[in-house]
Amino acid sequence: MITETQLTEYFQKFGKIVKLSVRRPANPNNHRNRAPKVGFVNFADPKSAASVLKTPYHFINCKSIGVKACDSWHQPGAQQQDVDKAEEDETLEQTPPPASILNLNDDCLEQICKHLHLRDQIQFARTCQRFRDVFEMISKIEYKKLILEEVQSLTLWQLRDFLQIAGPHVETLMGTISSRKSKRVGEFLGTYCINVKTVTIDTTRFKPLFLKKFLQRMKCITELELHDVNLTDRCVDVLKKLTNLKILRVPRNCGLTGKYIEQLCGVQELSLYGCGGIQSTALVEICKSLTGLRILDIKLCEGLGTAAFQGIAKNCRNLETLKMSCYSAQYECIAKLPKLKNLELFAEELLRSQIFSELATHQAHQLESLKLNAAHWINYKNTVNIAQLKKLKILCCPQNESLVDGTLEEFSELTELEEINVKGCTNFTSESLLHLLRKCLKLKRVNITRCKQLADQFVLETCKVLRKQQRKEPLLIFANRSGINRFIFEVSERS
Amino acid sequence: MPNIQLQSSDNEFFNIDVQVARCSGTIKTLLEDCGMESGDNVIVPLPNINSEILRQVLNWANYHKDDLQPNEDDENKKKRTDDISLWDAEFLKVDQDTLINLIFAANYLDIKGLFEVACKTVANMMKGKTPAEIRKTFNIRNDFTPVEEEQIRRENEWCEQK
Repeated sequence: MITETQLTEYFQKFGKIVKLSVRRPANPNNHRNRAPKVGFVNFADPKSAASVLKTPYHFINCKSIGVKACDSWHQPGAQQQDVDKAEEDETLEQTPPPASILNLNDDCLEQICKHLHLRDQIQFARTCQRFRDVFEMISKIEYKKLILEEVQSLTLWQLRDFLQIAGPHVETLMGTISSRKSKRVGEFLGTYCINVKTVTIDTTRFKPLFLKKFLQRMKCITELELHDVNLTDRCVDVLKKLTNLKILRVPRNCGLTGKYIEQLCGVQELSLYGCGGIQSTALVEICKSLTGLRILDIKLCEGLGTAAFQGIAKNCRNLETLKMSCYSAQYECIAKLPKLKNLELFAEELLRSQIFSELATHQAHQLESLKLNAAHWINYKNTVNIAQLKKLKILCCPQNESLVDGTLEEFSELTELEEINVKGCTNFTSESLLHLLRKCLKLKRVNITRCKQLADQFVLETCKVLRKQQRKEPLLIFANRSGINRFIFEVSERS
Repeated sequence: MPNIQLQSSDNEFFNIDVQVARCSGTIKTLLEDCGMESGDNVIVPLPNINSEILRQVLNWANYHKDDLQPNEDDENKKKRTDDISLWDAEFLKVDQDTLINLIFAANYLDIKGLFEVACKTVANMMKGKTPAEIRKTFNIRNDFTPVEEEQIRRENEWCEQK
């Protein structure tokens, strides 16, 4: 093992050292990372650092040590030496011949620049004003959508230079801000991407101050998704400056209680998916003040109780889509939502039968899509209630052992049906599904994935039914891993 | 096969067959639009291209006359510059002025294949270079004002060397 003294002795040869530190492993007993891997050397004179960097590997006591320029921000001018020399060379040539490459039109230069990778494009842009303009023209189109993973390998100043030119043209920003340089990167993005409209960031750690810097000049954001980024309520407080915000998705941020979200009055789509800390009282406040809310996703919000659902039912006059998990609370009041069109229910336990009767009472002429990701809810009463929803276009009830012929028979009353999903239901026969096909003339999609009981004969019969109906639109059948042989589709297409 | 004549800027005439000439989108359109297809002794003046460059362009077109037209905008291939064929690489081993003039001519005559491969060659000359090196390679004057330059230098710190 090399000691710090040895390191100091070695690097002193290049110039005066201000500080030398070696990062010790957190757990010395874990032999996999026992040896220190990283250390930092600060030189008094950047030129000393530059001369160390001339050789990528150094040998100390027969051990090789790789050296890299640190992304530290406050070490100016290490390259000064070289730059000065280059300038000297330039001045020595008294009458340089005109650069023929500058005779090319922009079209040609653009083409050349397009063949360069981003890293080289930045160097290209720093060569002269004309090249810079050419790169800016390219970036208007090429970097309209900026994926952060693509710029991850850039050094900080390369990123800064790039964003100076391309930043104002970025409209969509997505990806992860790598944790190593997150502060600076976030600040740069915030400074230069001033016209960005859609931002999707995941697995980054946001603290309120960082988020503030990141968003400080992005006034045009209409759509913001912060997926699993450790948001706290104070972070949400920062968002109120985004006056154009229409869509906010903050899935899987368990630290949120829902406080301050009510300040974001303009939001029309809100996803709190998997935010287990959201409180009923806060959600009620949100429902009261976000009057334009059209889409709400509160799946896996375990902290919500009866009061929350009553708040939704009472206040969300414009809500069209609601996705929610059903725990022990009483949630059937949401059936009274005056504009509800799409409802998704998730439940691990039994669904309350009241929800079906309430839906039949209030939504019979309105609800268009009902997705039930739950087991054990099918019984005669519930099925009859669903059959009352005459406007249903989409019905999903996958993975139900209790879905039998009688159930489908009831569903065949839904004559507006365009899509039915009975994935993984194995206890009905092809005859009842054919009956549904005969009755529901608008059906376009049928999902029978993993329905092992359906065999080739079903497809042949379906073809017969369709021919009789003389349908104009095709019927899509999703039949992965069902009992149907894939070749049968080729045969039936031909007939 | 009917022939046509191309006239270079320095008034040299090149007698070539139509199929070779059609590599150039510009000449092809010219021939079609003006209905010069059938008539012999057609002369196409090319006042922007000198005989030396035109000779090389025709040399390239003659070798590639049977190639398929490259796909219009194949975005995925844009970044690749290591797919230059051996013949083309050899063909493009010329001095920089000639290379630039070839790009100019290929652009003017709308010869996609040559344009592409010549641009890639220039791009390859820039790869991995610092701005100072690029300037030196192409003889470009640094026209950023000292203030701008100083600012870039001050702010951009010391990471030019990776």
